[in-house]
Amino acid sequence: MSTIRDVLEEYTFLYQPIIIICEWVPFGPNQFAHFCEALSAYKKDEIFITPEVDMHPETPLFKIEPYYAWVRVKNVEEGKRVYFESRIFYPEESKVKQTENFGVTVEESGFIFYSCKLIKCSADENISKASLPVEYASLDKLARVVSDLLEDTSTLMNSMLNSYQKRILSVIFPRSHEELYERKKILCLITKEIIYKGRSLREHIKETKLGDLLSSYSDFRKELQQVLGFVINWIELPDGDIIIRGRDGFLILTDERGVEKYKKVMKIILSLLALETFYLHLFSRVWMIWDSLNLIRSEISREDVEHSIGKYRIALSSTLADTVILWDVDHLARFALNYLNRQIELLRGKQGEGTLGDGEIIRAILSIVNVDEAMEVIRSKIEATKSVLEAFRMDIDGLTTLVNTFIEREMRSIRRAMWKSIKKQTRMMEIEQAEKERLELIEFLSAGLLIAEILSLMFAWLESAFSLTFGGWEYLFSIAAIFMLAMLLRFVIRRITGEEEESESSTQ
Amino acid sequence: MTTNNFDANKLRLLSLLALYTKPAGVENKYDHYIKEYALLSIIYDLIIRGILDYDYSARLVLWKGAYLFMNISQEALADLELLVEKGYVKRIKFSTKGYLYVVGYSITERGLEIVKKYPEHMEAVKNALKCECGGIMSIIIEDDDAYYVCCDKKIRIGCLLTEDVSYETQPIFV
Repeated sequence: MSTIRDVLEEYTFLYQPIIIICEWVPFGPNQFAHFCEALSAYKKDEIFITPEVDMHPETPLFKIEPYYAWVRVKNVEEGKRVYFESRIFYPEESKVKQTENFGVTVEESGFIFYSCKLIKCSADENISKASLPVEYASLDKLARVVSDLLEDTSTLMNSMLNSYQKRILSVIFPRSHEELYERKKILCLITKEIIYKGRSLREHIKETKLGDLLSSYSDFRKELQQVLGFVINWIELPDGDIIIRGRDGFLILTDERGVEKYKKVMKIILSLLALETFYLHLFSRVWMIWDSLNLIRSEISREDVEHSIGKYRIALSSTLADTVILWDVDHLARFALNYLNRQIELLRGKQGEGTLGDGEIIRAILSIVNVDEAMEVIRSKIEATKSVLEAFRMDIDGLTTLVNTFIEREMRSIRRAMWKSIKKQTRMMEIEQAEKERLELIEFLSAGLLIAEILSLMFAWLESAFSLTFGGWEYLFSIAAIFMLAMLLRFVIRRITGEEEESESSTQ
Repeated sequence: MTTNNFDANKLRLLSLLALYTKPAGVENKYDHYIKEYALLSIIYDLIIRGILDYDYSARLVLWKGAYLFMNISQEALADLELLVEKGYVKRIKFSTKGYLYVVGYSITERGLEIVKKYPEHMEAVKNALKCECGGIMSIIIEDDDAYYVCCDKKIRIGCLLTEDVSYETQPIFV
């Protein structure tokens, strides 16, 4: 069964193809040791691994959806590589049945190989016009199997890598940790038989040249490109083996005897191409960093800076983090390259072997993959990346200093404005105080006048009611009384004001 | 087969390009191109709806700067290649902000002449891409898929939805 929405026209079928997928993930000895520890590789453990993350480490119980992979360690070569078997239980469409088992080899140098043999690929009566048994997978369906494997191997590895490695991968392959998004990997298909338009490819080749079968608009080429990407070149070996190279991988037609030989040789070639692919993407990230630095530089040097200077400092800090991450890749890539160099030297050493050895296969593969050039390209990319990243770090330092200068200048102008404001406030307070004292004086005078008025009325009443006369002493008495009462009033007012100010300051 | 070895698929591809692109001088002084992933999204939709008769499969492509699987027809790409080779379609490559490249396609005047000769194919493509509010549906690319836009509504194409087949594998080690 399948979820294919189209009616397929299937021309090419592969018999139980071996699928090898390779990618390079920055590892190195420390990460590798950590990885083996996480897998409990030393006791050849058998575990289930889920891509879910424990977001509540404080709780003793947890629940997860049953989307996991089963992993069993097969073998460990201390400090070199670990082999484990995995079975995927990630959810698929209900009408689709997948038994997805594959072997994984993780090398200390960071090369990871996911490999399996496609035993059965279901024939769906509704969509397939093919009458071949289920051991034959059409390239149309194989393309879907491969994309499923590419997705699931990424999910599996994401569950096993540490956050540092995942961070590196997400810088190189943006959003690759999210659902739907992927990392670029290299593919190799090895099969013992190819059926094209009802006949074995070997029979076709007796009548038609392989080049003609792979001509620009041929059905064979179009179907192949669904899996391998653009077909670059191909070679026929004297013993009838065929190697076709596409932009994203290889298809090899061989016999039972050749399978193991090709696996050994292709492991090195795939590693080389995986590292090359990684660096291709790394370098485009490098130029994107360069772009963001240019943008920051042009924005902060403008008179009318749009955003606050602090925002640029945050942006620079994040760019620096990306630069440091890419910088860290450098020594891991060199480690991988040195390992690869040794492997390629061994491969070259075997080139001379006769037809019974790997010599012929190696010569054929080296004729369609320019190993020297690829090695040279990777080496120069590593060198170039290092010097560019070094320049970026200096650039970031410079920009950070510039941003700090702007921030200092901003702070100075803020400080100046603050002093101005304090001076202004002090002056206002002084004016306020003088005003207050003036008001107080007016209050005293008004109070004095009021008391004088009351006293004069009182003396006038005493004089008219009781005919009492004071001989002018009443005026002196009034003056003294007014003075004493004014002083008393002043004392009372000051006391009240003092208490009010005290209570205000204590509440603040 | 029709003249010039153009089958219905190629004529419909040309019609599709004639709907979304124009050579300079037809409308204004500019060549109008359609980006490859937008074109491939429409092609996928037309395959599903039976307007084009191609096979497709999921391929890893750069979609807005990140890799994801998209249903792509190699047969359609081969036909486009042929149309470019014969001068009916023009192809241009331009760089993106992410230092990667995007390919654009545009119909040429020779291509337009061919389209005019086969109005029935243009009609079939136009009907499939007609918007109820008039004109043809425009296309926008978002993070999760490509969408047609018609009467201010977005219609999901589904070109990023991968398909599954039943299979069985056994582990091997390299």
